[in-house]
Amino acid sequence: MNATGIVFNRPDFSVIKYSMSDESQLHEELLTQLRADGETTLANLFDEHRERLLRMISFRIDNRLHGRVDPTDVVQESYLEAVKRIPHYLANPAVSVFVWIRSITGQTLINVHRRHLKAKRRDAGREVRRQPGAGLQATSVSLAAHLVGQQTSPSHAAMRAEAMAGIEQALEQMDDIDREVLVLRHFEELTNQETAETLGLQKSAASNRYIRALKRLREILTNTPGLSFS
Amino acid sequence: MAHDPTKQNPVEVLAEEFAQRLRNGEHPAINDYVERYPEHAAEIEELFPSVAMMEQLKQKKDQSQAQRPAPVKTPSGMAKELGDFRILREIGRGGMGIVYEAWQQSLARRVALKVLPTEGIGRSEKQIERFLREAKAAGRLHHTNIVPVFGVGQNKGIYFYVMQLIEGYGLDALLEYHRLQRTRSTAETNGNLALGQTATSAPNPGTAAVTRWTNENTQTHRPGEDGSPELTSPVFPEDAASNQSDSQGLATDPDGRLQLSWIQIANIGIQVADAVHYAHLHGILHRDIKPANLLIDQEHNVWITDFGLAKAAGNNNLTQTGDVVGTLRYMAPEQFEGTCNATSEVYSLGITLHELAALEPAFGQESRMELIRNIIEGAVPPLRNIQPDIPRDLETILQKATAREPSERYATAQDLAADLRRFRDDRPILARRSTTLQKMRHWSRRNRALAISLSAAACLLLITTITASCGYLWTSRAYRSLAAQQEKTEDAEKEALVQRDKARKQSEHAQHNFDVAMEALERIFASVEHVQASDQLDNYDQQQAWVSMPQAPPVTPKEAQLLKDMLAFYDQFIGSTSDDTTLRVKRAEAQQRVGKIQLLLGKTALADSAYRRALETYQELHKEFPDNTTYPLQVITIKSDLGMLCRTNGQLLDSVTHHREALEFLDELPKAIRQTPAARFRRARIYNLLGLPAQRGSRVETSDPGMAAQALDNLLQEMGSTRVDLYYQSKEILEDLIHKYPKNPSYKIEKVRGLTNMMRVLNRPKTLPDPWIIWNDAKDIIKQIQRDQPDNPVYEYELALLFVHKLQPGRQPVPINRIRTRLEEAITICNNLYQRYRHVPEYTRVLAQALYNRAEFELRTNKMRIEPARLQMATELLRESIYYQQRLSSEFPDLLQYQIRLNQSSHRLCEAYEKMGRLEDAQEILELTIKELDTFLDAHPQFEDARRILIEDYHLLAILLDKNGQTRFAEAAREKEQKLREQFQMDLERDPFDNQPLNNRPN
Repeated sequence: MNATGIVFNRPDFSVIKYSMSDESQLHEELLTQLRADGETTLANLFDEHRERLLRMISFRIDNRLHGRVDPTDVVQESYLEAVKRIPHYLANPAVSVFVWIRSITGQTLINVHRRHLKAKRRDAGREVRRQPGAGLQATSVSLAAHLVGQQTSPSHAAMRAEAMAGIEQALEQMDDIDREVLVLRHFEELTNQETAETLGLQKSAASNRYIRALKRLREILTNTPGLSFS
Repeated sequence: MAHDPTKQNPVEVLAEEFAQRLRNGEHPAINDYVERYPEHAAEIEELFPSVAMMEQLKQKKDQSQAQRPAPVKTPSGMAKELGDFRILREIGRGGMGIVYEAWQQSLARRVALKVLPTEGIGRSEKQIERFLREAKAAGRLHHTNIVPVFGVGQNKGIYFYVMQLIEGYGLDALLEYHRLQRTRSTAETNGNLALGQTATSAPNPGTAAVTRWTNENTQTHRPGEDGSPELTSPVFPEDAASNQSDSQGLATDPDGRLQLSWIQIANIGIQVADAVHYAHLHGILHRDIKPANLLIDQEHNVWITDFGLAKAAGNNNLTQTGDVVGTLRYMAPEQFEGTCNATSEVYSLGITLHELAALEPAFGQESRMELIRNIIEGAVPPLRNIQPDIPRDLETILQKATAREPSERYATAQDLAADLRRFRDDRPILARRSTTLQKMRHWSRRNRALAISLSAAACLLLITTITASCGYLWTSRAYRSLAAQQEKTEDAEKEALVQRDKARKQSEHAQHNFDVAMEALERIFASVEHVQASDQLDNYDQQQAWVSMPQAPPVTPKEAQLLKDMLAFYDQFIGSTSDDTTLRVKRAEAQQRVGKIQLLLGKTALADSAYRRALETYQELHKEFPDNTTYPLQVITIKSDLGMLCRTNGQLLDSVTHHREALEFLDELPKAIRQTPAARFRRARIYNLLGLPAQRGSRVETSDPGMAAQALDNLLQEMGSTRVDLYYQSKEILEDLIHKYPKNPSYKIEKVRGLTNMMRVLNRPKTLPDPWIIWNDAKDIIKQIQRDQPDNPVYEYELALLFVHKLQPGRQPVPINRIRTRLEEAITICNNLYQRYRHVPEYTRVLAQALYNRAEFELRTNKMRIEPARLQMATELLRESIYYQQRLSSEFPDLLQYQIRLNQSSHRLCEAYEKMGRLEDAQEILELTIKELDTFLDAHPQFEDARRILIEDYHLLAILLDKNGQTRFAEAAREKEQKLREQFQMDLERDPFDNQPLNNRPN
């Protein structure tokens, strides 16, 4: 893109990182705002994190609901739900505000699934209840679809299917939580801190799991035929 | 190492930063991390490509919009030699490839090599062919301001451009430098920093472009050598600092604040525009004019580089290049539609110069979606707001160059260069300033077919308010000075004449402003009321051009705010006092509009008084100007509106009175007016409004429905007709109008409304055709309008409404399958509408109704033995319908009808569950519904529908309790049902208006 002569980019290592105290200070500030004017604060937060939430929804929504449910509606509904639950959250703000609204969005999405895939509500639905969050967890299938779906040309459907199966199998061997970490870190752009909170892990554990997942991913990708990854 | 639970894996910390930078649109090189953190080199090399890939995948998934840049892969083991060329070093990189300084051995000269990314070229022969063709074309360009392309080369599958090496820096780097300077100069008021001194921190971590000279002697200045996170400023020629008035190139201010002077910006623009024009004459478009592609050499000459490269690299879909945002920012609006021509390049250059003048991008750090939307809307921020001292002429030139409409820009780059020269030489420029009002008019023209986004509407409202108010201020000032002058006519007769002329002109101007403002407001209002203008807008008759919804649609809080803002605007005019006739008309128009707005906001009393004030004004005007045809028609329109308003309010008696008065007024008008199409249309409309069947459950206020029925009867008796006669009369008028004016959809829609009334008549007299037949007629009319105006949601909505009406049984039985098909079709129509206009709550409502109707039909036919599959389907439809209704009723808790319908749907669902044997589910939901209805009826006991549902609820509950073996409770439920029924019966007997047989009037 640049000049024939001279311009080049060099990483800037002075990217500001929030220190712990910055983070907790920010958190306190948010809590104060939530107490003062919950609805507005939440509305701003939802606005700010809208893209991330939408991404989470579109990544996790059941295939059958694609086109039937508008992700922006889910966000809207989550917001209304969150407004109702502000006092509850403020009584015990164990996680950061974003992690909280994300979890509400997740819950709303589960409700949407229940509502729409209603035939199974009572039978399959019972199963869902026993395993909270199930169905929303990133499955190997959905992740594999993302990896393969983009990497090969659509004309090579057969190759694609093969690659898909291979990746799926490989991802299957991955620890569930590691897989989830990958999705949270990349598709939902959560920080390590947020990932740790969401999955109820220590920061160090979340950090190490992420590195482990990346290593595993690399193995998978280099060993899968049909993927142009080097 | 991981014993401290808060301690993060150091590689993970780096990876997080790396990912963050990718998301910021930077292209961090993995090697830099390797070099910087040698202790983690192995892990970084192993893992960071995966990080990059994951980010890339996500971005590809993100919409179909532009993509964030993929990190450019370092071609590992890049050959030191490419054929004739010996690579000396890398001098720059970007999405379009990496630039190397190279030594051409055969000709013994230094050249620049641009190695193209392999992904960009791809393997297809066609693409390679195009690359070669474009390069050849670019090679033919010989201009002092275009970097010469010596040729293209291919070696070991690597394609590259060979170009003259320009020793200088890109305009992007220059801009970065100035931004830095500005930040610094505000931070350190007394700082007088020497040029070339290194900055200690980057003010903006998002941009890390670093510039320096390619001179051998500055190589020692290579950044990063000292290992500190420093940003090197571009080093400018030593003489630059003392050179203040170089008319051909760049200069610096002596006070250390390096400033691009206005003249220098113009000079850059002139050189680039000349070069671009030269290329255009050769039939070559650059396609990617932006600061990074404009280089300044040591002699201050500007060079354009990368001619045609964007196309050669297969850049049409933008997904291949790296720095997409960097490119997007400078793209002309029409380029997003796939057109690029000479005026697009004028635009790109204009935006680049705009950035030089403002020292910040015209379209800043928004998200890509926002960026694209702003560009498409032509929302270039006014330069004056950023640089208050910009010369007006330069501002005007740049405004013209960056106009949203290609036709309003300079037709050629040459024209732009010429005007810039005029500015530089202090001669008058040709470009004329576009006024805010012109812009506004364009804006509203563009948005004619689109649903206007609310924020844009709010913004427009503000502009409108300001300009229109200014117009009035100016006018009154002009009039005042005119009056002052007239007082001393003796001594200053001439002066007075001049003043009068000025006043007249300003008055015309203000008048014009006001008209445009009103027109714009009409559009905003239409966007909220979700109505659509018909084709000929420019001279429209308000009542005929808009086809509005039959009832006031619900508004969202945001829309309500917008409407309130509009009210403030109108109030300003209503408050003004003047005997000027035009102004009085405007005021009445404004009052009328206020009435509509208040109605939308649910403030019926305020709406009523606004309508009445408008009515008064028009009545006065009518008396004063009996020959004017508009005023009496407005009187009738407002009367009808008042009648509608009363009806919504439940004041049926008042409603009839208003319509009656309107009819009387109409009859007294002179024949010439009475027989105009507009007057006849209004008559038909009144007939239709009078003929509206009484809506069940709409009784809100305390008025006596019995008296209303009596009033209507009296009226009909005087007219010597019946309600059915009214339908026929309206039909006859409208059919004649349609025959004479087949292009006007309002007549047709009104006819449909009349037919709908006919369709819904209970206890049908023999003369009336069966509902099915009428329905078919109405459907055909709408379909016919749709053929003329496809994709117009208003007519689609009319069709949807028609489809969700329940049809009364006629004399001829209708085959069940035909009913089923119609109900299915209704869902399809409503769903299409909903999918396309999700933001319109009324569309959601019709969809919910269509789903409900379909379900109810299955549950109601074959009550005894319904197939399990159909039963299953019905419950699913009901649940979907309930889902939409829940959303509506939580969004509009004040709209009680939504709550009633919701409870009705819940009741149906319980019935279905009961049939399926899901007794527990049914009982659970039913108990909830009963609780809700009880609370509801406590607050609003007048809603008959709600009471009917409650009675049915108890009835069903008793059955369920029996089946569940709770007979004692069942008994209690039955008693409750009985009690409610008796109470209800008593109330019903007091209400002869509802469900009153039509042909059975008391005489």
